[in-house]
Amino acid sequence: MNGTLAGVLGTLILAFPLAGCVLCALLGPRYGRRFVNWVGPGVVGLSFLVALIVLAQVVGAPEHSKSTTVEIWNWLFLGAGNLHVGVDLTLDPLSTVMIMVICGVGFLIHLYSVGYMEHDPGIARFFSYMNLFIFSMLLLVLAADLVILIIGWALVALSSYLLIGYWYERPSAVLAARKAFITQVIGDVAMIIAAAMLFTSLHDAGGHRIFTLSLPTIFANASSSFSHGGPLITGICALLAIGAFAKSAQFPLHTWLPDAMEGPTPVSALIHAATMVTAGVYLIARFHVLYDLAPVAAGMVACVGIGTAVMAGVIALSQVDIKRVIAYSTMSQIGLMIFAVGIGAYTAGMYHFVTHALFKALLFMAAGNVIHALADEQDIRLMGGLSARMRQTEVAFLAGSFALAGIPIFAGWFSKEYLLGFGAVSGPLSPLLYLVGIGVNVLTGLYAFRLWAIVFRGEPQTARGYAVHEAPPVMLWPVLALAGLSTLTGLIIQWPIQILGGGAHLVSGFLDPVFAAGGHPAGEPGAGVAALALIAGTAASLVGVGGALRLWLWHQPDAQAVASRVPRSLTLLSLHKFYFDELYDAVLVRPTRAAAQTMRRVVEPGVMDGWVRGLADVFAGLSLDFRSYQSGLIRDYASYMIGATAVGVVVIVFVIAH
Amino acid sequence: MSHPSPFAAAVDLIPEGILLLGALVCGSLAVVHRRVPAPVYRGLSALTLVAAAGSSLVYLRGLPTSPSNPGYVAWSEGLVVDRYSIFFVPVLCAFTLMTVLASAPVAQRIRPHVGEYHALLLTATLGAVLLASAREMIAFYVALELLSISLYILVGISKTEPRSSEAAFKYLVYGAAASAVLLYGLALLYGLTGRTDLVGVAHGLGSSSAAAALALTLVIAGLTFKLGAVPLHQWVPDVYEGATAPVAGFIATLSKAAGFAILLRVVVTTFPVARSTWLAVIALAAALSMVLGNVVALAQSRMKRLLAYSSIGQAGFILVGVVAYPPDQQGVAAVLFYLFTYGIVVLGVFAAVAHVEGSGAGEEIDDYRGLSRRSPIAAAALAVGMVSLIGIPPTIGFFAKLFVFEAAVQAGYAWLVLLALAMTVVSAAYYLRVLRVMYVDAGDQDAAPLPWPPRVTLAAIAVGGLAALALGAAVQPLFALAGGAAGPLTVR
Repeated sequence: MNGTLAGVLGTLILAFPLAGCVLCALLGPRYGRRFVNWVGPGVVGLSFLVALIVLAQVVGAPEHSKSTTVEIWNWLFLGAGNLHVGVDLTLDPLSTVMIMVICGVGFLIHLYSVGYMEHDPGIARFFSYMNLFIFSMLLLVLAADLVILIIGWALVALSSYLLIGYWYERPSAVLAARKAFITQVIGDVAMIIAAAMLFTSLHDAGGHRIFTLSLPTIFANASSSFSHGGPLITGICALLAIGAFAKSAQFPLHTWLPDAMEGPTPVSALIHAATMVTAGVYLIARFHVLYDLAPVAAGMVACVGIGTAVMAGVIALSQVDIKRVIAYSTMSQIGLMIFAVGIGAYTAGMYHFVTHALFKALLFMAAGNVIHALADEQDIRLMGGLSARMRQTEVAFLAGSFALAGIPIFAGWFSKEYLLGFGAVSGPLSPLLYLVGIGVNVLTGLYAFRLWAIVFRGEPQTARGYAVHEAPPVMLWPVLALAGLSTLTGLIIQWPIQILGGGAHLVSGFLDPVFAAGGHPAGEPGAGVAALALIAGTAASLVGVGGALRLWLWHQPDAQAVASRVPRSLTLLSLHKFYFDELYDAVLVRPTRAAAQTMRRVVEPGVMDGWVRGLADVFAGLSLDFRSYQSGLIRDYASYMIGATAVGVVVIVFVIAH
Repeated sequence: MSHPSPFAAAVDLIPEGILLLGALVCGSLAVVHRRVPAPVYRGLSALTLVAAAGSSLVYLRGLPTSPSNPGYVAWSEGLVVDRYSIFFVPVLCAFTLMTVLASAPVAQRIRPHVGEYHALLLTATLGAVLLASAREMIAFYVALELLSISLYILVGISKTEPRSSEAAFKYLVYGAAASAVLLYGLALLYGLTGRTDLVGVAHGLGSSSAAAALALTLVIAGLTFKLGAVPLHQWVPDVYEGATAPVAGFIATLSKAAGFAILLRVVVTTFPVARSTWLAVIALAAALSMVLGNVVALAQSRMKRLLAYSSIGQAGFILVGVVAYPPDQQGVAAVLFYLFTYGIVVLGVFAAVAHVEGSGAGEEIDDYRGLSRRSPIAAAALAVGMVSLIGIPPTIGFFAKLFVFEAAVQAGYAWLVLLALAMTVVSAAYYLRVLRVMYVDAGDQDAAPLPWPPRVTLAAIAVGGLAALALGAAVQPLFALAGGAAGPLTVR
């Protein structure tokens, strides 16, 4: 793609949501609901059209020029022009996949919001924030400059904060927003330290320092700046990973995601399922050149990912809030993606990101339909029996659940088994990692169909449950569209290709060139291994689904009875989310608060206040002293002027000039 | 090249001619017809200013760019048209335009003389523009006096108010004394060299001498009056307090910018031999201005006095850029960038103050209690402006300080930058105090909301606030403009 075209497309794709954000904020209150209902989703739709053109351009580009980096705004030079910060964008297969999902799924969710937020008085503010989020996320994935990437990274956290706390009159929403933001800031700090370390340690092949913040230049010089597996690059990658973990809700920075469900459901679908929480996966994939040089850090990433996947799956089994169950499921699936990029299977991770964005947004929106129909009820114990009156929503929810659980031919099956296949050949620990992955499959089947069985089957548990109505068309059509996509995407992508052969398919054919630069450390599983992995993984998923149906649909044996036979410590662990909130409260929050109290009572008055106040007093005193020279009398001023000039002349003529 | 005929010479002075014409039209209209409404004058002034600014850009075509001959000489070699002077024309016109817009809320106080008021704003602009293009001492002095005398009258224009007259009188006497100091310096230079053009003086001075140092000191000291910097700063608080808020803003921006324009040209063109001396003098003035302005601002209880000391402190920050002049003109570019961005932001602040005072809310800082509720737009603009004046990113004030400090560090003035940083911290105390008063202090819950500002003033307030917020995105093009304008002052 030529630079001018890339510049125009990149500018347009960013400009639409930004304009939407400003328009909704400034004109929304005046022109009202109709106006924002058109502008809010409309601008994302326009961005999606541009994204389609980008896709066509990137697909059509010759093999060696798939990636275009273009500067659309020259922002600033520092250090006498040595250091340049510009709004540089990269259009390559990786960012194309991201913007397609962000704009495409984002557009459907914006449409859905029109119905979901129908009775909310703050709709202009809502769409303004949502458009801001789309803009920030696009900036993050398109950025080809470290500073711009970090700005996008931080703006994403900001818009997430604003949207989680959208209903700011609810204390729980405000607390959740704060928790999410503080966790994000921990990640941001790690990111910025990593960026500084990168910046200070970059050298070219001749050993000369390179002053740059441009990502392509950084990647091109990575191998000359860092020794393979050296402590510096390992540290940088570990810090970057902390940023990724905060954004992607991975252990130990995961506790904010369930609480973030306080936001409106479209927000959960867009930000806390489809896009923002996968930014960590994108980050590691984008920095793959560095991770290929730091196997220890990459291994840590993989272990954290698979660990989070298991932990979140276990927690999801016992939660009773419909959105929290899906949130833990998101955490678990992103754990798998993080695992994939950790073992170097970048393409597999990105593939699962795409299908997951489709079916997880679908699940959230279908859950939103249920919540909406039941007048904001989120407790699944008070649901049940909805299938008779919400047939279409149930069908869509089922399609999402099949995809999530990994039932053959649904989109999730292709991507998840492809991903786990890489796990089987990833390295010395691969048998163990693969077995854990199989376990995650069982867990996924269990919690996915537990949710479906409890919510849609059985008898309604409240009077309200008998009087529900199907969602209005504007909320139903986006859900059904995603249901179609969740069902068919895998087939469309892989139909013509021999599935068992594990050969190149459309996604890997498209993305692999991006990751070829670093040497693609994850070997493709051979045909035999792939077939075996596929069969075992599918079987595990089916076991999970079957178990769920037996426990929660047919009740033979009943789930309660089984739970009573499991060691109580295990069920408690799941119910209390492994006690992380309690742990952080005891280890971090309380000691910090206690320390702050001590500081305030002891250190502050005794040590700090003394000199701070003293200094302030000095300045205040000086200020008064100086002020007294301002008598208001012109003769004083005149004598002062003559005096000062005379002193100056004497000093200069006789001291400085000699 | 110079032009032989007076008519051809006039072609070099189109913006100045337009300003003069506008001033004459406004002034005559006021004499002929006493009851012309203010919006007519406002429109006339705006038209004049836009035309003058636009016409100046015409000169950019075909301007010589060689370092040895960066522009062409005009008007009997008294003036020069180069990128440096052309940069200042639109900037100064923009300052005046914002002042015109901000004057609507105080129309009542200047009512009998609204025609003269606008005429004087235009003559002051003319003086400032001429000052930016002066290359000779007589033109320099005449332009300076044109600017100063216009300002004396503007300060005293509400002549029924004793405070206004007192301020005008002090300004006049103080200004006259400062002019005397400056004239001594200029006379010495003429006596030493027998030349009046700045380049000629530089050639005539030859090597550094005590007499040259004396002349230099007197010239710089005299100019600190225009800058509102130490040592000739004492008029600033009294004059700002007595003048209307728009005129105070006008003095803080247009007069200061014109002062810096001529200061840079004089020290760079005339005193290459005594560079170490003037660098020392200016570093001293910068340090003293920063300390005095920022520290004394802490103890102020009136808004305009606070802004007055803030303006003394800001003059100090800008002087830090002047000492960063060698080894390249990075410091000059930083100064120009600072002047422009600071001017727009400060004029927005003064427009908001004019609105608050014009609505009868009072002049004490305590009168701004609860302003966020009583006039959200004014409070927001003031808040953004103050944050920018402190220099907190991403406001434009941050970049202005960044460039000045960066240039000063590279020029070897790290100690001055450290002092400037310390004084930035001190300045945060009084700027943030205004924010606290507006947003946190409860104030009188029953206080009536202020009326919506007049539309033109709203425009000025909004331009100031938005400039503070959004210009940060356009740092590079703006700085490149300033860099281009700094070209004619290259080290020789």
